[in-house]
Amino acid sequence: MGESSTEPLRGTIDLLVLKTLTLAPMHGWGISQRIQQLTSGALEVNQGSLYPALQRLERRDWIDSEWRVTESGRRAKYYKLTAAGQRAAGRETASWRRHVLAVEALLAQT
Amino acid sequence: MRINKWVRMTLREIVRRPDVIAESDEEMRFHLAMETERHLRAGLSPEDARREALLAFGGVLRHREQMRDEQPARSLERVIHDVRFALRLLRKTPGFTIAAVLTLAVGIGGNTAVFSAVNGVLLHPLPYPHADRLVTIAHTTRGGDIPKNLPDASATHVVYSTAKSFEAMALYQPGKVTLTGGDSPERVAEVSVTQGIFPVLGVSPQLGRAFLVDEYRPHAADVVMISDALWRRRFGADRAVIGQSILVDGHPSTIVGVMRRDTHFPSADVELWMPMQIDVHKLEGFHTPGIGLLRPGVTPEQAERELIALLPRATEGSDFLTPQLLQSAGIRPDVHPYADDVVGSSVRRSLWTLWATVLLVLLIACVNVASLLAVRAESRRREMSLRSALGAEQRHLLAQSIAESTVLVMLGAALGVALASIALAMVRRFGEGVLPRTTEVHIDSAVLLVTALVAGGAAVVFGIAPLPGRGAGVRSLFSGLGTRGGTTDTSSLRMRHVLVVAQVAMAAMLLVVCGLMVRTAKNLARVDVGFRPDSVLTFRIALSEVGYPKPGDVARFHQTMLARIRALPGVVAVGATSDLPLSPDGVPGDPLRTDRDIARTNSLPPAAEMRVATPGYFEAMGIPLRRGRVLLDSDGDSEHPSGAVLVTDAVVRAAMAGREPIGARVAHGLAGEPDQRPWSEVVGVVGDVRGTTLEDAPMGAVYYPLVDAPGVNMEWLSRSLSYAVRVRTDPMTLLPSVRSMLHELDPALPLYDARTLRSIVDAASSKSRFAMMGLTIAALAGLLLGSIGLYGMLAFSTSQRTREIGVRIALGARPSAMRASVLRQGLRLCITGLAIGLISAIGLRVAIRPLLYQVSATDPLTFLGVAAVLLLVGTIAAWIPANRAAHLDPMRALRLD
Repeated sequence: MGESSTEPLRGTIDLLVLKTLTLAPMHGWGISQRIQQLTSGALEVNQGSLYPALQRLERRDWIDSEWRVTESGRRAKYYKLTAAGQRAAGRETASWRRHVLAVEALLAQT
Repeated sequence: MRINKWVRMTLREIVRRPDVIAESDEEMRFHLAMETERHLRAGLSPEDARREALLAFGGVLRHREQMRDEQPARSLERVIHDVRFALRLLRKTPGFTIAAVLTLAVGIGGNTAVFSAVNGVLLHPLPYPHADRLVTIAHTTRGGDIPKNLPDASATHVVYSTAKSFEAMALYQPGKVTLTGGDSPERVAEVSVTQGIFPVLGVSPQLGRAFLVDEYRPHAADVVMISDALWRRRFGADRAVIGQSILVDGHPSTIVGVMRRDTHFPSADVELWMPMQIDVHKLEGFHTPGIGLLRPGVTPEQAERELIALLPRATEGSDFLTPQLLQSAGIRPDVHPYADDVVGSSVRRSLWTLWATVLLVLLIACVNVASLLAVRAESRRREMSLRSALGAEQRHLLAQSIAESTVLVMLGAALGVALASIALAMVRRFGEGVLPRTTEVHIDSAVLLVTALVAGGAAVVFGIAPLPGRGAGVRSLFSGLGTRGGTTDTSSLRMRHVLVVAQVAMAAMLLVVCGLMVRTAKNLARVDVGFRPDSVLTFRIALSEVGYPKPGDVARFHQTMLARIRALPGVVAVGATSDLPLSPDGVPGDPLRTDRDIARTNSLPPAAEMRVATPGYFEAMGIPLRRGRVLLDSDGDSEHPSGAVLVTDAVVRAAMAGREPIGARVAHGLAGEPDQRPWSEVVGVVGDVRGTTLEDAPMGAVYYPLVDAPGVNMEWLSRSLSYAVRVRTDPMTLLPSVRSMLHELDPALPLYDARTLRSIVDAASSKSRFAMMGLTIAALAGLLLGSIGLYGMLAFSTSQRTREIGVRIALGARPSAMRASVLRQGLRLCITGLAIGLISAIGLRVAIRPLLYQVSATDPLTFLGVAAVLLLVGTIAAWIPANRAAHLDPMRALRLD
């Protein structure tokens, strides 16, 4: 699988997508770009994991999709958070923070 | 809501698959376009920009695959794919497929058939609302069954009616009556019942009413209820039948009700219900079966304890039935589930045993298929290892393997159920009279569920078993790749050895059970029934009280009939008796006292059957006269009866302790009982016959002449007599002339139960033959499958050792040594399995013993025979691959791979 250092940790991609979509509805490519920008290039989301993740989230009814035309006149599939997605984003964020704190605490010990 | 979305998307993925793909592709194209634009902005040439974008994307097809992996519909697609793949594989190896499917069909089919019988006969509740609370109320004595005519048995039921364990209680007495008035007289089964029977069974008539309280009183008007079958047959299902009259034994009786079609109490052939008209203040000495409905939550044991406590009160007001007699005879109530009586204990035991054996066959079959699959897995080991090295996920390999075994098992199960329904059709057709409740035996949802569970379990086990590297992971993956045809790892080899040993052991157990049943059947066939069954026609004629009111009329009719039959051409001898030998319904009997008796302090005198016989009966039946003389016509003279009787060997042995029988005096019934019988004088001794079954030793009998001696009422026995006609030709050819003769004499009399004496003997042995046939089929199937398993294992392991054997032969090993090596291996497995099987069979002896007749459950001859058969079969199974090893060409063997 050869994981590079810029690839997000497994399992965090859902959180990243949800968080990105809390700002505004966005298409797949835009999401990947925005993640890269917001992390100053530290994280790059691979298309191979982004699109399955979008599909997975939509199946859970956390996000919704619709076809729209972009400013440049192309048809693109836009994703936006649902109400359940909003709540999930909050939950996932809190849980991630707890996780990070716990791991930090452990790393500080040793 | 979430579910909704999930379902919607999944459905769309299945139903509108092309749209979904197109949409996904468009999204991908948009992504690529944007990415290309970004690279263009960064200053790359158009071609480079596009190449960069594609590279980053990682391939269009891969994208599609990744998207599809996230879709649940994908797993369905994969299952279909796996099943197709499995079918293709199975088609490519037809030999393997046919062997596996047939093996499974035999195992599953046998199991389905026998379980249907177990389900229908033993597990299905009886068709009464509270069937689980119905109990039989009977009595036992220390010696086993209660003598039939022990006085006041019914009085106890009056006492019992106060018992709190029961919601309701009833007595019933089955019998037979003649219906006249139609086209031809008809003999039908009837039952007299007391009032409690309707609440006990929870049944009511479909038409008309049940009996009124007054109709149970003595000397009440005769009323009957008729069965649905009789109503349709004789009255064309006319609803106006209520209130009509029907001639029952010549008495006009009023029909008050028609029973429901599914009311078969106490047996399916009962056509008439009548009120039992008893005087509770003057209870007579008859033995009557009782049936009770327990209160909810009361067990039969609790009810029995309550009745035991009540029983002494039955002696109050009786001069004869004393607490001492109850004590000395050990008379006690016996309460047990009514369902146990509907299906006799021997049938119950046979069916459970049969089921256990078919389960063993199924196990053997499963082991066989498992080892077949293991052999196949072995030869596909490299393929599997290669595939998992190329990145096939373990769970996909597992899914595929399970798909393959599921297809196999489903084919086997379908064929098995088909086989089972054929077998059941045959049981229904030929099993009547052997197996009770055959109408209930069919493949229903419960049976199919059990079959499906068995098959499903087998499919999963078969699917998992042959996979390489379970738990061993990478190591076995590499070892799988590294193996050449020559070596096998030891754990799978040991596993197969265990399987073969288990098969041989199970086959040995089956063969032992089968061998014991064959010996039982042989012993039963050799039983001395006490008469010569060939060339004898039998039939029964019953006289009504209306046409033949006096005992003298009865005797005169039978004597006329006998004389006319004797005059027919081809008749050697003819006689009549109250009950032919081997009457499954039982023969009346009672304790017998004699003046040759030894003093008995703590038990009843031994019981003897009560029989009536005409002078010619013994010659017609071929029953030998041991001493004295047979009965003469003069003994049966209605004016001057001699009071002479015959006894049998068993009576002389048991009741007279071997003392001189001629001139002895005997009487049925206990001294001091009401209506005590006077003595009769023994004038001769005849041989015993088997009274009810082949297995039970004769209890002894007293043969009375046809008519009453003073104080000895024989009319109740002689009204209905079985005739035995010994002829020179085929017995059945005589029947038409006998029928027309009877019609001349009295057209209102039916002649029924016409059959040869031989067929009566055959019917008596049919139950054990049924069990024997079932077990023999099961055992042969087990032996066949087991030996195929042994052969298959050896053939495979020999072919696996091809290289090794080749090397050894090339190095100078003698071919005969190679043959011996393979043979040794086979026989070692065979003997191990045999030993385990025989020891297990010894462990089964408690379960088998009740099915056997005059053969020990650990019969050494059977055990030796089974050992010999299995060793022989094992040697043959091992010889073929052994011989192949011996004739191996070393050059060819080494060039393999």
